[in-house]
Amino acid sequence: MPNFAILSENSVSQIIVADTEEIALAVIPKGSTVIAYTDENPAAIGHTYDGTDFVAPVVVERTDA
Amino acid sequence: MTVTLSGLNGPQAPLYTSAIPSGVTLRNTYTTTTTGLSFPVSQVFLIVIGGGGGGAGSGASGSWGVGGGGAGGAVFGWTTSPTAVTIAAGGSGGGQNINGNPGGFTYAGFLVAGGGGGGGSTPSTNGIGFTGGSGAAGGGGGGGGASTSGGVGGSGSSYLTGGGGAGGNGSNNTGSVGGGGTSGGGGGGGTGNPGPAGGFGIFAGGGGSGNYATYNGGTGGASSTFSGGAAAISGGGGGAGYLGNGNAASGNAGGTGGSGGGGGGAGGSNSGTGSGGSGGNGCVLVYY
Repeated sequence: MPNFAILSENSVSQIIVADTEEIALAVIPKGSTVIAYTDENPAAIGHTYDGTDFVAPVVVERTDA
Repeated sequence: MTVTLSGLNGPQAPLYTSAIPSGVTLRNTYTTTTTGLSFPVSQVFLIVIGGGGGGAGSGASGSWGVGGGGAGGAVFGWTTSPTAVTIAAGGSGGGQNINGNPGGFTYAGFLVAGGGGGGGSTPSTNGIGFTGGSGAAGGGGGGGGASTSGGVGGSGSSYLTGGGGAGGNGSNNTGSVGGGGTSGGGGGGGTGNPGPAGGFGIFAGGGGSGNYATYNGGTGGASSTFSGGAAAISGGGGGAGYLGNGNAASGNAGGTGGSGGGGGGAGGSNSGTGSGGSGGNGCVLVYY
């Protein structure tokens, strides 16, 4: 079943399951956009979309244990 | 139906009586976003469940254990009959040294349920394990990752009728199991055998932790309706959802969470690396 990312500007604010893009578009807030995603290029809340890929925020590794 | 809420600390585990009022019948179950709804009554009773969090991906071969994903939040109550339901997707699992991702939000009428937190992974060099993600709007927290120092499990969220369990802490020794609640927390990464299990959730369970070498991961947490997925060497099992069993791990790959908000199992690192399992999608159940 297709998954869709809801974008507020270029940031993913929500991920949903819908049978078609038309259904996904019917439930999103005004001003948002919808992009389908796949297991190979997964979207996640907090990721940004660069027009092709969903990009995760940088996680800083701490070595001061 | 009465369920004993195990897995909570305290002098007496609380008893939970079924949320569903007497005199109503399950009419519809939605597992995908649906519009154009109409019902012959002005108000309905809903169970609304968010997406499960994804399990963390393991580190390199032979690395530390990592955290499972938290279960999606579960909220129930009476509301104006909805004309649409928005169903959350489960959070995707992490790749090598990558945290799992949070689940989405499910909306129906005036109710909303949040996603489970993603499991925390382990850094690529020794240090502090990554923190598990916090649950949102009733969701369970993700388990923390292990390293030379353990990462803290994510907090569970209390929201309306939902109370998510905390994710288990990661440790350089024995990690912690996920906390219990209406939605369970993910198991924390460690080095014991087997790894810490996901927490029990009345509606959905947390994902099991991933392990290393030939050690078993943690089993997925159960729900009151279904079973958590089995662990493998060395991936963690997926947590049970409200609508389905959690999926078993397959070698290093963590199991996916069960339908209805189960948390994803974490990846293991036995002679290789393993991705975390995705969380289960959310759902809405309509009674009147």
